[in-house]
Amino acid sequence: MNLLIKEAESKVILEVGTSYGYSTLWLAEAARETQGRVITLELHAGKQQYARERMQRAGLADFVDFRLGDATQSLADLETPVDFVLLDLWKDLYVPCFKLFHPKLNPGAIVVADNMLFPESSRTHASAYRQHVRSQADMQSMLLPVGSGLEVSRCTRGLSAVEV
Amino acid sequence: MLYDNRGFEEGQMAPMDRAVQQVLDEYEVRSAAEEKRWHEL
Repeated sequence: MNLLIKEAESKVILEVGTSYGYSTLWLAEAARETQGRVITLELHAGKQQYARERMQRAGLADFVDFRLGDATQSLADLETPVDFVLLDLWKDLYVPCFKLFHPKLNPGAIVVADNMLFPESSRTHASAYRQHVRSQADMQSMLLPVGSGLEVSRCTRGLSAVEV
Repeated sequence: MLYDNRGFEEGQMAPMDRAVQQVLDEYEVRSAAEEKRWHEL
């Protein structure tokens, strides 16, 4: 993801599910290079605080906009188009969250969804997410059997035929 | 599915700056400790 962001020169990076901030760190390091920023959403104040402290110690806090609260509400309130999304929260929220940020994807935006294959208990929701994304006319999507399984999708809306 | 990686050249990321690497290392330690705890349950 770090390299994808740097290669695509993504400026607005959205993370849905900060948790303890491990992924946030990689995203923020990329954002520093692209002169972009990470908007990261988390429900749990303690996790957000843990992540915030680590971003400060890593010298990356200036590149991260921490937002606390229900992800669906935060996404409904999101004021900016986005270039890159990491989706990694409760799996039953993947489709509702996608529906909220989908209209805000910039042309060529990349969406990465984690836990498509593992844990097995998430597979029903993961499968529903993949079906939903792949049913969208303006999304290209593929499953990468890397780590816990990543669905990597690209928004083709607004791209020229050559770019698609 | 077969994967043909002939001709693939393995690359290496540029090293992270020291502060970032230090925090990444801490996450790795924390993750390993958590995994160990899960296995012991």
